[in-house]
Amino acid sequence: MSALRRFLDSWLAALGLAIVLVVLFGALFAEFLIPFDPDAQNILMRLKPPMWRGADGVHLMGTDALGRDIFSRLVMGARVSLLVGVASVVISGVVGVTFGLIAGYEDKYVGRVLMAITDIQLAIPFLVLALAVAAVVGPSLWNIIVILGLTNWVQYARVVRAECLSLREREFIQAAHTMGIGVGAILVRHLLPNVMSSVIVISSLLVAKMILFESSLSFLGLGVPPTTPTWGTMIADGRNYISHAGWIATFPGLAIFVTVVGINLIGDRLRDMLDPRLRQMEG
Amino acid sequence: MLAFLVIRICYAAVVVFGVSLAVFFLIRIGGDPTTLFLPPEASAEDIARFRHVMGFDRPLPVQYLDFLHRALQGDFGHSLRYDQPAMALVLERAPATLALSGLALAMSLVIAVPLAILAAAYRGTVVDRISLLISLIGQSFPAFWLAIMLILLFSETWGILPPSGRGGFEHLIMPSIVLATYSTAIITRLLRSSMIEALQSDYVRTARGKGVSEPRIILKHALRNAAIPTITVIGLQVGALLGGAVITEEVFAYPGVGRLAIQAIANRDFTVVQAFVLVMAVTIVSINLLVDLSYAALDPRLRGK
Amino acid sequence: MRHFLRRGALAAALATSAMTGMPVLAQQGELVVAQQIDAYSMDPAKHSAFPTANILFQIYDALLTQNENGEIVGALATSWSNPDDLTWRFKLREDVTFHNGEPFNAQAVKYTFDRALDPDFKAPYYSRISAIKGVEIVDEYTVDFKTEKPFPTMLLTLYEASFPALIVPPAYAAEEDGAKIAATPVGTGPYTFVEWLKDERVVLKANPDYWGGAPAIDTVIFRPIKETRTRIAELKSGGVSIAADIPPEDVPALESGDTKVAIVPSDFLYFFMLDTTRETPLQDKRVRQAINHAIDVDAIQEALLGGLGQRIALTLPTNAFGYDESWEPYAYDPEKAKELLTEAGYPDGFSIKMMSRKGRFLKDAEIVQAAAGFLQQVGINAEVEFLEPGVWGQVSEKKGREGIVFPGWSGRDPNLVWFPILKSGLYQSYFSNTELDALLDAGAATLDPEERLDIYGKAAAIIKEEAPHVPLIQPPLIYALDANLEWTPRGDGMIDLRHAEFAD
Repeated sequence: MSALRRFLDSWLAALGLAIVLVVLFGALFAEFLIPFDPDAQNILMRLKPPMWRGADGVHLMGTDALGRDIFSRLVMGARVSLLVGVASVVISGVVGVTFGLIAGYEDKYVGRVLMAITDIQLAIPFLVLALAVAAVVGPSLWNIIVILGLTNWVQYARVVRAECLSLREREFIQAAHTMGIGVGAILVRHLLPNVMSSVIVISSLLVAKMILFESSLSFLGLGVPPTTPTWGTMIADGRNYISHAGWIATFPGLAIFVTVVGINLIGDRLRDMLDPRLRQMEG
Repeated sequence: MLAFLVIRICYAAVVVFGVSLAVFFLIRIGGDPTTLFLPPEASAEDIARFRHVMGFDRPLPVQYLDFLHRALQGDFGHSLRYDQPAMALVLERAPATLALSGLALAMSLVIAVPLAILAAAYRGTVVDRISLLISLIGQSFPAFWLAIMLILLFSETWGILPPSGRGGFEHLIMPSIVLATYSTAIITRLLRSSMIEALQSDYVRTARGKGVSEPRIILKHALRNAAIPTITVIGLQVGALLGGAVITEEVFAYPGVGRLAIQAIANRDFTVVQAFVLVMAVTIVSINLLVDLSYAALDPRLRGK
Repeated sequence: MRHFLRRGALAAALATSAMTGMPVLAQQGELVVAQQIDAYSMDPAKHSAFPTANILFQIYDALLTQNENGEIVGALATSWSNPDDLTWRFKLREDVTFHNGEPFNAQAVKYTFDRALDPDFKAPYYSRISAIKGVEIVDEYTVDFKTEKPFPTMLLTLYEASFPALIVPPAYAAEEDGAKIAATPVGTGPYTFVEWLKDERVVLKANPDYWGGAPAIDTVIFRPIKETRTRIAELKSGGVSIAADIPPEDVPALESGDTKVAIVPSDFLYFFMLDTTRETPLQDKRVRQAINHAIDVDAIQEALLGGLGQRIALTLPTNAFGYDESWEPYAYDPEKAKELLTEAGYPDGFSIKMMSRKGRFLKDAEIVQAAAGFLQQVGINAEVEFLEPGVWGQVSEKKGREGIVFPGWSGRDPNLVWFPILKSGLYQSYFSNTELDALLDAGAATLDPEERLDIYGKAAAIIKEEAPHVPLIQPPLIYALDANLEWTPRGDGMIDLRHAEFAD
């Protein structure tokens, strides 16, 4: 409990947590919150302005080009956008941490090859790589998640490896080694817990980035297909209406901005608490 | 030092080779560009014939060996769409991207460095809050959204900046602002925290004890030490910065390599994508190599690693 | 509001003429056209992209062209005839020279087609001209186009929208193995090439000796601007005078002040293709008719295209050969649709795939989603899937389009539309009907217009009854213009600046 209190000592972090909890609540209980079916179209009701500007006042945030309720899509979009953010970070984390642990514990052969792969990955502009793969495999929701996951793990690998390199000289690891404990067990039981705080910090900040990346892919026409509402596709599709139906793109734009700010606030606080040295190793 | 240099350069070459290998196969998983290139009414025979003439029907490993063989002689293939050497297409657009990225990076440094120094020196004051706010907002915006907003305001509504293209300095203003936003945020945050750490370190305390003036401590002792981790991160960020240029170039119709790459990906113009990724990889690897070397020069202990 | 650059350019033009002491010609400054992408090549036979064709059409001419009424008329050819069913004879315009002084004659025509038809040349638009088996020189200004079978749509193959039909100068085109013409083009057209800054601009200058009369505007610049908002911003700030591919929603706002809008229904076809090759409910004619009744096309056109474009009754452009104004589309009637579905044994509807690309054509994704919404209302659950264009190509090649498909097509003759997409067994066709096959073969085998009208009238009746498609709309082509510019867009999507001029 004291950790939470320490976390909340910073009112900014508290604000971030509040934002994220609200978004999370929306994502989890979307079905109970939305006034309309997010996919239900009514092209007679298209491009209606938000309630406070509209004559009919049925749609809180207005409707989009197909007459779908923007508020409902925004709430459903929270679920998909968070899913994209979290799931892709999990993939990144698993890949990157595995690479980092192995390369950090054994930096002769396997470790060197793994770090070379990391450097190769680092030398390809992420967006171009993601775009090329999305173009090839087709942009479905899970394809996008896997692509984002597999193109953003480098930071984990580098940080975890650096920590492992210093940890493995420490007595308890050396002791485990002499006791004949297997490499796998040492990695998972002894090294992994010690790098977890860094992993948590990187993850929290990466979730925010992933949400932005998804919107960039949408902008370039290779995001999650429009039948699944995400904030990224909502902005990308709404940008053509910006001069006369600005609300279509504005609300998802604000949603991304506020959510990303919230996640970043949490991430910054976690970093300050858990791992002040980490800031030097990532961007 | 020389041996270290040679090893590092060899390693860089291996990395670039790995990039070319990975990209060659990745972009070909989804099949060749024939159906995208021929008109919709092309018959099945027309498609098969074209594919054969272009050599797309050969097994991928054979195509790769062919590519490698030519690449080693400096021939990076012919663009299907442009019917021109792919590498030339990339290189002739590179100066434009370089100008844009360079200006954006300069802009970030001009804003971020003084801001971070002031924020660290006057920790907890209004300046510090502003720096936190800037770094927070700067990394929470989708870049294309910001770009469209700028065009809407400065070009469509006020008519004071040209919305697109290349020409005078005025054409670079909005694109470089968009491109600089994210890196400004990152550099501000990093440099601020590194500065704070440096200011609390022993040698700064010693210097203070010796009566060295505060501005001198900040600029000479603390900044120099805080700069090293920041530069490393900037080096690692080059890829992200160049990736950001893709979106910026697209929105502002700026004739750089990023726009070429996006189009080439959409067209499955493999040779152009390969040439682009190769140029990017060489750039990124070289920058990181330079960062590493400057490290080694500064700190002899690192050479062994 | 107006941007300073344009005024600057005008001032510079005036200053130049003042310095050289030349009188200012009756020609008008500069016209900037913004389209989505840049040219790929300056060689008309080496590309397959409309934006490239638009640029090259100002530099080159074809034998034939399209006039303001949409009819095919002579350009470099003055008249034509059919000595027999397998020969098209063209009389050529005399006294035409290429920009570099090479004479235009029968030799140039023969060279142009021999070059593009050579398999080793790898012309992407080979398919469009491949019916031509050879070009024979009759005399200096007469050529014969030979075909193996009667080729009723020859004229559409020889005008500018058939890209490799633009005539190139033989000697120049052969220089440097073709690299020269691909970089610095030479044609017979109204504009001559000045410079090409890749992805930035293509600059052209008026050809005062153009055989069709010198164009009014002195300098033409094509700029590639992909992002729609940016194209509109450029137009509003005076940086460009023609902005192509404007969304319908922006039309009202652009119709006032310094800008205006020019709209024409395109020759392109929006329709749904119903796959009858797989075991699905779509194999039942009544289901296909029900789908036709279930989608309110007029409402979709009104809502998503601002009422613009042209409703079609069958999958054929209304300006195509053989289109009959009396054809009626299936009426929007969801009750009738439900009845038909019940009759066919699907009272509770069914689930079916729906395939499309996104962002390929104007409002494609929105139209597909709206149609899926209408199908939902009669119980048909359409699972919409959007494919990336490259993936779409791969899927199509393996004949993998499934369910209700939004493919898009064009062509101004039933032989160019119905034959490739409805004839049994062809790789783009997902339908089979022996009676229709016979008619399509007959229509392709004769040049006689009366006979062909009769044949396609019968074919139309079958297509209507069998309902292999859901015909929708010819989408609009929307251009936003400088309010002072006089210019008319064309339904085939080609930009023709021969008669463009500024009003003041």
